[in-house]
Amino acid sequence: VSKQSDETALMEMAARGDASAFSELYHRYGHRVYSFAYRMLSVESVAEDVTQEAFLVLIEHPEQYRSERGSVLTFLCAIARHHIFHLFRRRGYEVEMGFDDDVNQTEPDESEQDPLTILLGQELSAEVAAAIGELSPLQREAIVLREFQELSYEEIARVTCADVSVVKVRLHRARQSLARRLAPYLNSGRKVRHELR
Amino acid sequence: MNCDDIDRQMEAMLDGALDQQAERSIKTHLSFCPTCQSKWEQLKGLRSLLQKTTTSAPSEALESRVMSAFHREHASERSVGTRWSISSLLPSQAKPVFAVLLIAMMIAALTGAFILGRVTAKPLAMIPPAAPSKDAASPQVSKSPVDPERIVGGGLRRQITAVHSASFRRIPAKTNRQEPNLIESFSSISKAGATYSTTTALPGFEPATGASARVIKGDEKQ
Repeated sequence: VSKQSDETALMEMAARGDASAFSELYHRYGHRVYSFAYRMLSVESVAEDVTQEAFLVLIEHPEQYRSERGSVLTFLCAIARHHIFHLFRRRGYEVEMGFDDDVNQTEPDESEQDPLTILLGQELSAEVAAAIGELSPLQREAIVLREFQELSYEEIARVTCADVSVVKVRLHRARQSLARRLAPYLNSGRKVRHELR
Repeated sequence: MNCDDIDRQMEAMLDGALDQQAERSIKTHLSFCPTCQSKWEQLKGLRSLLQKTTTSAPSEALESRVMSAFHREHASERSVGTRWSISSLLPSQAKPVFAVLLIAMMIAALTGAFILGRVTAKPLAMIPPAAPSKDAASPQVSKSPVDPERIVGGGLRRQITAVHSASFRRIPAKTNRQEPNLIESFSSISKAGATYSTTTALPGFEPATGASARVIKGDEKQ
């Protein structure tokens, strides 16, 4: 509750033109919205555009945010999702299939790891990203919002305008698909984990 | 709780969406069911695998673009608020109505000023003194409770005294005071300069039955 009231206070200050409050909101959620957009679209520049659009709504129409409907992150993700699916519809799956090779990183402090570990991590990340990219958009957003944004079922339902039961079904199917696609890594999970250590 | 029930609820447990009692039941089942235990391990393994991947941070250019948009928005809000403080208070649908009302009020004010200017200033002082009439022996008008000169000036007073006094009879004092009609009657006289009706009669008098008043201008011959 205190986090939500803190968010609401920041939103009110930002709506009145307080730049430091808005900057705080950006630093809290900018990366997460971008991460969601990037995992959905797999193209950095487009993910940045989507993130910018989400924050522009926050700037121009702050009154659209209602704290009783969910967190600021949920609100931003819902706007980002709107733009992402608009891109999907406009471009078909052209955006969906593109992947930047140099974007995924296994660990933030990879400079301290040995080259073999980095290589294995990069390969694993590319495989995981490719597997996520092969999911349908609806399953993909469910798994991204749950696994990477760590939203609850209810929050995902709000972002995607779907029932909680539908969200659970999408998540279940997405996990099944990923488990099949990434079976080699899962079956040798212990081995991979040992190698990464 | 059989394996199908566990299978349905395992993901909810992974996502932290189960209560403690349900979690305990599942964990008890997992402790003696290798099939469900394997599925549980697979789910945990998948989560671990997904969490090993991270995305790069957005560029700094994105932050500066977003912050610039924020500053632009609030700078424009400030300038608009200064220039259009009244109209900004109105809803956008009401602004055209407000503009029309404003224009109508301006037209009404100008028209009123024009009419007032004509009534009060134009011909009153220009009317020449009326020639004294033989019939106007009885200066009844000067006995009126309202002094015409005080209201409209001497030119009109001279004109009124030229009205045929025989055409009028005095009315009781209790109904004498009709000052608004006096001004009305004077304006009618100044514009028409001739016959006028009972509504324009001087206060304190009313036309005799069947009679009409005639204003005699100075250059007219009776």
